[in-house]
Amino acid sequence: MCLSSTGLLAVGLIIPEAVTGYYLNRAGFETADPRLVRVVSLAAQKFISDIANDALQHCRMKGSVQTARRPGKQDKRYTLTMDDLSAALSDHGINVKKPVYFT
Amino acid sequence: MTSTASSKHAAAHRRALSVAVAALCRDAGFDSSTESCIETLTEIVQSYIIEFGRSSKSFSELTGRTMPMVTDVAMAVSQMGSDISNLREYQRKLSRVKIPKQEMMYPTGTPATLETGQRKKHPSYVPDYLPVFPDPHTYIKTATFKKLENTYKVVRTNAATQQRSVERALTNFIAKTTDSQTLFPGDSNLFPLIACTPSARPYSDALLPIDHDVAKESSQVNRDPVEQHPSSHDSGDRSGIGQNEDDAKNADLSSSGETPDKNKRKVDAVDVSSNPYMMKVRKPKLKKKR
Repeated sequence: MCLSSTGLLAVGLIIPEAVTGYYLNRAGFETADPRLVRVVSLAAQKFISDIANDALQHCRMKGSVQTARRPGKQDKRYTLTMDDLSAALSDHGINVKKPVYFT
Repeated sequence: MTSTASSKHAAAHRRALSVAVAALCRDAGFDSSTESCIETLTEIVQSYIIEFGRSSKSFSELTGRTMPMVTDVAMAVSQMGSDISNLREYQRKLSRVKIPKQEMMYPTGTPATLETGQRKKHPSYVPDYLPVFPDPHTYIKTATFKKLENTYKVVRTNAATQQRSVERALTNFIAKTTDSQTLFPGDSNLFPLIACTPSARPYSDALLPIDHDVAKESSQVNRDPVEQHPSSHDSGDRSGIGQNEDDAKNADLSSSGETPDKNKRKVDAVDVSSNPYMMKVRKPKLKKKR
């Protein structure tokens, strides 16, 4: 695979390797190659980023945007809510149901 | 090994993961988020990584290896629904997010137990390796009631006090329910005395015959006072009626000796078995027994 030969993998990881390695070890995954852990970390990172992007699209489509408090700036503030997130997750095939008693 | 394992180690990793998830959300363009969303995403990432590890592990075991290789991971990535070639593009676009260094978590020690009193040392026959005695307040017993005093003096004092209080209470009761006279004029509450009611003919009580039954008295010694008292109380309470009856009795006495018959009838009406004249049969039996 050409992927492992590139040296790019060490850059820009947001999910730390140690954390990924811990959860991989819990599943019985044990390796001496740190690049494999980086691949997994990057894949998980991409997964979350895709979901977050979808949720952002849902949020924009709704139009329920809270304007910034300062009137001078035209910034729009987006808040990740459970409605947008569950809509984005259902696109990925994950059904999230919020318990009624959960505040 | 569930995702909700409540060990300190797991909690620290989960916290780091949630920080990373929050950074990714901020990178995607969100400015704020609810806590439940971050929790949900953290849980999803956690199970995603674990599923990743399990599938790549099983791929490596399928080919007879114990350590997974790059090909196994690539198979796992494609099985999870994403293409491994997209990862490189993603990494090029990725902006650099700085996550501040997390402060170290120190374990919280158990609070020191409060020691009260001095602990007892082991007796000579107890070996040293046995645990020390606990705090003395856990096993020392203290009596919470006062010890009863049974000395002669105390008992006599208590009995006298009780009797006096009973007498005073009775006297007060009678003084309040019936007419009373005051020892000191002006203050009616101080030393109330039971009013003396002089009858019109004081000698009539001595002259009137009272039925006495020897057998009844001997057999029912305990009952007699009880039976006699209510009648006397009645006469005292209903003074007007009692006087009328006395007058009638006196009139009867003067005319003829019918009062005993009347009394008999009353007794018959009340209780036949207690009538001494109806108990003739019992007398010989009692004699025989004696």
